Parts: sequence; C-alpha cells; structure tokens
Amino acid sequence: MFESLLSGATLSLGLTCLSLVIGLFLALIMTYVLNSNYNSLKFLTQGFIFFTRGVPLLVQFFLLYYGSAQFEWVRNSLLWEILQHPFACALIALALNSSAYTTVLLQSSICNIPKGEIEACIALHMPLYTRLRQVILPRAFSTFWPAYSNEAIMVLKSTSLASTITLMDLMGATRQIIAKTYEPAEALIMAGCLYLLMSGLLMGIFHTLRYYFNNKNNKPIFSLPQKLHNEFGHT
Amino acid sequence: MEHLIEQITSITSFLPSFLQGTGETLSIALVSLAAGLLIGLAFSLSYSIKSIWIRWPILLICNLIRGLPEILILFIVYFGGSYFLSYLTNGQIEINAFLAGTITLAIIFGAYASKIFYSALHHIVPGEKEAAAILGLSRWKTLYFIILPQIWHQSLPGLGNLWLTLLKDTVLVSLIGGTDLMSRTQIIVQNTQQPFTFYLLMAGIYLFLTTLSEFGIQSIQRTKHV
Repeated sequence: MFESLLSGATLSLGLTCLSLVIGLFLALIMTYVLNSNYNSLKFLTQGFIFFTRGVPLLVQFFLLYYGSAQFEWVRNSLLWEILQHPFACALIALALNSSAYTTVLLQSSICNIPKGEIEACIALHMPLYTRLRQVILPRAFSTFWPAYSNEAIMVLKSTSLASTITLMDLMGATRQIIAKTYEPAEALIMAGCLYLLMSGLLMGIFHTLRYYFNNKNNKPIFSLPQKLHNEFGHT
Repeated sequence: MEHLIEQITSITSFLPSFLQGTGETLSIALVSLAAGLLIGLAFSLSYSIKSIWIRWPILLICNLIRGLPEILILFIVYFGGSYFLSYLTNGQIEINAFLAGTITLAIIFGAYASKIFYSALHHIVPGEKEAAAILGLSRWKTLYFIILPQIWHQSLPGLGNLWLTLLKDTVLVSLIGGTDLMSRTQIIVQNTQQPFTFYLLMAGIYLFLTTLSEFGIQSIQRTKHV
C-alpha cells in the first residue's frame, strides 16, 4: 500500500514542478503582452485570464480530457496523441491555470513599483535592458516571490484534482486503496502526511531560492550609483 | 443549420435541470459562507486567548486545513463523519453529500478567514477597547458595536477573494455524489454523449456567477468607503 502512495506522491510532485515551470514561462510571455501595444493580443490574454480564473479547475480538466473527445476532427488529428493521456491533459490544464494566476501576480508586482523610479531611469537615459535588470526586476521580485510561493502550494494542492481524470497521483492512489479495502482511515491519514511533507519541501525550496536570489540581487541595487558611473560616466 | 437547431433544442430541454443545479450549488455556497464566517471569527478570537491549551490546538488545526488539498478534507469529513455516526448509533449511516460538502467548505473558508480576521484585529487600537470599557459597555457590546464593524471593513477585500474560491470549490461536492450543478451536468453528459457542449455551458454559468459576485463585492466596498 505504501509503495503505491509513494509512487503517487512522486507523480504529484513532478506534475507540480513541471506545471510551475511551464506556467511561469507562459506568465512571463503574457505579462510582456499585457504591457505591450498589441491590442488584439492584449484582449485575448485578458479574456484567457478571465476564463481561467472564473471557472473551477475541475471543469477545466473535464473540458480538456472528456470534452476534447466529442469532436471527430480532434480524434483524427495529431492532437489526439497528446490529449488521450490523462497526464498530458492534467499538465496542460494546470500549467495554463497557474500561468493565469501568476500573470496577475506579476502584473500587480510590476504596477507596485513607484513611477518615479522608472522615470528617473528614463531621465538618466538608461537602456531598457539595464532598466529591467537593475531596477524593475529586483524591485518586482521582492513582492512577487512570497506570493508566488503561495501559488506553488496552491498548484500542489490542485494536482489532487487530477485524480478525477483517472491519473494515479497521490490522491488517485488513495482513492484506489479506499475502493479496494473499504478502510479509508489509514490511507487518508498517510496521504495527508505525504501532502504536508511535499508542501513543506516546496516551501523549503522557495525559501532557499529567495535567499539565494536576494543575495545576488541586492548587490546591483546597492551598487547602482557605482554601476551608473561606470556605464554612463562619460556621457 | 439543422444540426445547429437540433443542438440548441437539446440544450434548452436540459435548462430546468441546470437551473435546479445552480440553485443547489448556490445554496451550498451560501450556507457554508455563513457557517465559515462564524468559524473564522471564533478561530481568530481564540488566537488571542492566553492559555496555550486552547490556542495551539486551534492554530494546528487551522494550519493543517490550509496545508491539505480540498478533496482530501472532503473525504476525511465524508468517510470520517459516516464512520462516527455509524459508531454512535451502531448502524450503517451514510452522511449526506450536501451536509459533508457544506461542512468541508465551511471549515476551509473558516480556516482561511481566521487569518484575515486576525490581521484585521491587530489593526484595532487598544485605546478603543479601553474607551469602551470606560463607557461601561459589556464585552459582547464592545465586540458587536466597536470591534466587528472595524474588522468587517478591514477584511472585506480578502473575504471577497475567499468567496470566489469557495464558489469554485463547490464542484467538489460532485465527487461524493451530490445533486449540485456539476453532478447534474455529469448525468446529462452521460445521456447525450456531448461532454464539450455541456461542460462549456456549465463553465459559462460559473463565469456568470463569479463575475456577478465580483461586481457585488466591489459595490459593497464602495458603499463602505462612503
């Protein structure tokens, strides 16, 4: 019994990490689009975020896994190779969901930067890359990262919904054991402990990463005048 | 064209079922909102009790609930509740899906709301309590007239977000076999073999509900500020 729970837990953890990475990547693209001038793309992104945040994740899983089988052309196309696997469906739905939430977090942490700082950078003729690297990103990061670690825990918790589309993650394994043995107590308690362990592990990773990034990022912020002197001293 | 008309008539024939399911889902959400607010308030007030024998167990329970997935808590309440009731009555009793779902959602809402209430409680100046005591207000009157209105004002944005989460979590009740919107849609899908159409329709209903409540929350906040 314990082996099946453990293999389920590794699947859950893998699903979480993969969807977080893909979600963050997509969120960066979407944040770029939202802050750009492509109005149609902006509109599409806003619509996507509205849909993804307003509809329960379970419904999104069902739409993707069961819903895609309704159309003949999907079943005949190459897409079906991907969509017939529950793992791929769960990964797509989770990554899209997390990307929408992460975009909102990124957007709000960028909006929270005081306008005067950016104007000061522009007044100093700082190129866009330096502006991003030295001022905007470190500033946004400090408000973004704590919120993002919460988002990671949310993703870990919502991987348990993937058991409804026949994926054998930790929750799926637990449900199978309950259905086999009719003894829910042991399996549920063990699954609960494993989930708590996994969220503890994720929290630990995020804390160490934050410490690491802060040490790297603090230097540029504090040595900004020196850097400015080196880069723009002659102008 | 004929295909489209056929599709539309098939959808309209299921509309009563959808409406009933929406009513059921809304009633689950509203009942757990009311119970969850009370639980959250009780939890947040008990965080400041001095005795560690009350404070620590409640903190532990609260953090456990926030760390575990919602489905797991639902199953624990469902199976645990059935086991407990059967043990009490020496018979086979299965707890109602509506009841189990409402209890679970209320506990989860309460655990998250207690943190929001607690941080709002910290914003109240101690002088206000002292002033109320000097005016001769009793404990309950201080809580009701002085503390609660301020907490309510402070925690409204956080509670709005929690309500949206709660509304979306009501789909979980279908996993233990309720009669809410999701369960009804699953039955309709089994009958019609058109999963995409009907799940999309349900997604539309949820979008409508969440958008409506977002407008509601915004209007409540605006009236509070004036």
